Amino acid sequence: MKKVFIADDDSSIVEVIKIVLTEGGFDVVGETHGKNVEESILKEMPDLVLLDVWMSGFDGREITRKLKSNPATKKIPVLLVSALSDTRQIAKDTKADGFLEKPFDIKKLLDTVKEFALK
Amino acid sequence: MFADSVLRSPPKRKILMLEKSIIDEPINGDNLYRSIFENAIEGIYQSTPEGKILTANPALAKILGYESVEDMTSNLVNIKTQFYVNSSTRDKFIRLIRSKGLITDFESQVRKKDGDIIWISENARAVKNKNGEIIYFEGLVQDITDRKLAEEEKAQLIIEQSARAEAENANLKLSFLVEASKILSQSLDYRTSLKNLARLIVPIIADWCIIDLVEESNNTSRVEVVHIDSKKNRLANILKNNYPLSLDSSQPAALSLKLNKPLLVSRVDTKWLSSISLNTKHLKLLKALGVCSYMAIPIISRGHMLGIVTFSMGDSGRHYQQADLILANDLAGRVAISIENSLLFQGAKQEIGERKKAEDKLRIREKEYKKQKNQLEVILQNVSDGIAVQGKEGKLMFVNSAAARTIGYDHPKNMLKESNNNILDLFELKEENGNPFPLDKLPSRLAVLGKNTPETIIRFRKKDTNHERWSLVKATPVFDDKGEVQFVVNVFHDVTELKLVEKHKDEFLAIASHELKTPITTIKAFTQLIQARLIKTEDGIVKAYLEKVNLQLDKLTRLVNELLDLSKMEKGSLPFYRTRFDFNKFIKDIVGSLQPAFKTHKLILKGYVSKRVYWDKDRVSEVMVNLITNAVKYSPGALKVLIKTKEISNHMQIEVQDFGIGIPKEFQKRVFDRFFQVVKHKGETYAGLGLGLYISSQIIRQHRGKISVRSNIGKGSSFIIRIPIEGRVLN
Repeated sequence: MKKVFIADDDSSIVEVIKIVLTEGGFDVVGETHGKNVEESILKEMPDLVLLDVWMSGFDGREITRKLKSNPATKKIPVLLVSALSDTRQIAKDTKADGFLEKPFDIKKLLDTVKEFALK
Repeated sequence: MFADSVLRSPPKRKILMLEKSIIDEPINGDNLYRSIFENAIEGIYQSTPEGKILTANPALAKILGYESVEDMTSNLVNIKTQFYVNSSTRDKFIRLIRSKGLITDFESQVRKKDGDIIWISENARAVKNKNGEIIYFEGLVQDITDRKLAEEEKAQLIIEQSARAEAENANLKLSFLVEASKILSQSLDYRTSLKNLARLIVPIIADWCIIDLVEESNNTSRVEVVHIDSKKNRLANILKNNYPLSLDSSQPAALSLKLNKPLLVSRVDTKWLSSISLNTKHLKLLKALGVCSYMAIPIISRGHMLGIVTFSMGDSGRHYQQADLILANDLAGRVAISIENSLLFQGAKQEIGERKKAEDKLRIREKEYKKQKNQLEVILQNVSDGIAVQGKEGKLMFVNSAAARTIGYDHPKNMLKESNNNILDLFELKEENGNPFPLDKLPSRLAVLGKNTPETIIRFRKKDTNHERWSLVKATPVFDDKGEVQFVVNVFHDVTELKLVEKHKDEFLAIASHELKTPITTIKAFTQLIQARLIKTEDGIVKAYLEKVNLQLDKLTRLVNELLDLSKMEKGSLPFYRTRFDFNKFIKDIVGSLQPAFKTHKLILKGYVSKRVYWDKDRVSEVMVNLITNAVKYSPGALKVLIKTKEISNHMQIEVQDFGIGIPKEFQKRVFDRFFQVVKHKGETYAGLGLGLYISSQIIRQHRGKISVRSNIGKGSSFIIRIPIEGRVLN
């Protein structure tokens, strides 16, 4: 079972994504506290990271760069999930693997996660 | 006088007799007659018609300067040649005496013995024989030399006197003209001069005179009437005031003036006077003033009628002659020149006056201008916008306090010392989006070339302080009358605060939309989860409700996005991401995904273009969703919306056609404006922010495409977009 890590400071987002992905057959780990994100990822070593860009306590861009520059984590696909209108540009700039704009269809969420996690 | 006949010796007793009765024949031997003959004071002679003296008395010899009668008769042998100074005199004598038989008081000049010439007077008769033939002449001779000399002297005296009188007259005329010239040159006001002149004319060459002038209106004005007799001045005044000269009349002065011909009436009679008078009163007046001689002399200069002088003689009884006319004409000529000079002077004076007035006016205007300039300068110095005026070479001519402050000078004067380029060097110039501002696009540089520039926003970052300000810059060229740029007025309106507010607004919108979208995301996800679960229960009503919730969430998301897009669009910072994709699939997907939301309308796609396009897929999709949603929204009751696609010369054309209410003509151009909404009746509007078409048009524009509308009220609307297939995106 593929493990997906979700980081978002809004717990309801984490919750609903967890439901969708769990039902979709993924092992889901959620984190709402920004400062724990990096540490948790290193501990969990997921198959895919879904990262909010703009959350209290941390900057999704910064974490993406770190993950991508760390040999241990650089192969883990990172998807930026954000309500920012320029999510696509941020993803490009930070070398994230993909992005998902909020709000999203749950079908699109599942399809995108499948696309990257099952690669 | 003396006949040529020869008399060898004088007959001793022969007496020349004056009485006809006693001189029928030569007298001989009578002592009485002899004594008279010998002692007479007058010369007595007998001579032949041929010119020889027959006999003569001593008195004759004495008159002619001979010592004796013998001396005379022996020396004077040919009367014709020796005696008469002019030999033709003898012929005349013979002719007269032959025709009349006698000759009386025949005066001639003769030579004395010593050659002196004397005057004599002869009385003679021809003595004839019984056959009527002339035998000899006899006559008396009187020495009239003294009388003749006296006469000559007298004649000479008369000649001299008349010459003197003439000279005096000429002198008088000359001095009159000199005096007249003096008067005419005394005043530059020719009316005054003419009044004085009238007083010179009277009494010298007139007993009374009138001077009339022709005015510009072709009326006349009576300058003066002067009479020699001061008692008649009252009459003169009546003539002056009540009988003006009318140029249209046939008064002699009017005719003379119009014909430019001096008029002389040497002797005026009552008949003439009556003919020229206007009425009986006038005639009475003229008679009272007295007119026995009359002259009217026009004053003409270079063909212009200036006036007329009327000269009259009355009580003095003098009469004008041709010479007076000449004098008067001379005078009139001088008057004309004087008036002409006066007019010229007055013209010049007036011109000088006018020039002075104009100069005064100019001075006042200059003062006013200076005052206004000062006021203007105070205003300009104190307006909050920066104003800098530069010459065409770039040199600063004027800077106000705001401009100096913005640039970092404490006083405009200090800034004026700098060249424009030095000042520019202090700054880094950026465009609104942060790109370097191309200097050749600087409004002031364009304005110097005579181009009108739009208002341009420039970000000025001061290099030394790193301080950044935004200015709305407008440069206006000012042209001279040749159409060349004289200077350029730069106005800097500081919009830094505005930009800060805008920035805050953008940030707020970004945060607001982000924060709004987070709960929407959750609601949407849970709604979709519930929908998924309900598939199994088959509760149609709940499913339909949830579908509505989902659609409304999509709408809410669009609205939030529109707000954010608008703010980015205004700044030109809306990002575009072009990808290559298949157009046909793209349009089919959009129609397919939208159809479930519209239960009432069938979306019918027409046309098939299998072409890959290079556009921002999401943005063009946004446009399509907007146009289709609008088509449904504004065609309540219609059953379909047509989406027609076709390729036209490297462009993709998409037409979204509805069969709805249509757009009034006056609104068709405005539908692409921001916040524009079609008003339903009673001021009610359709739901929405009025941003959809504005944002759509901006997106199409960014793709270098075009969007247009065709609409008929009650029949429906068509929105047509046309985008280049290789949609080169504008920056």
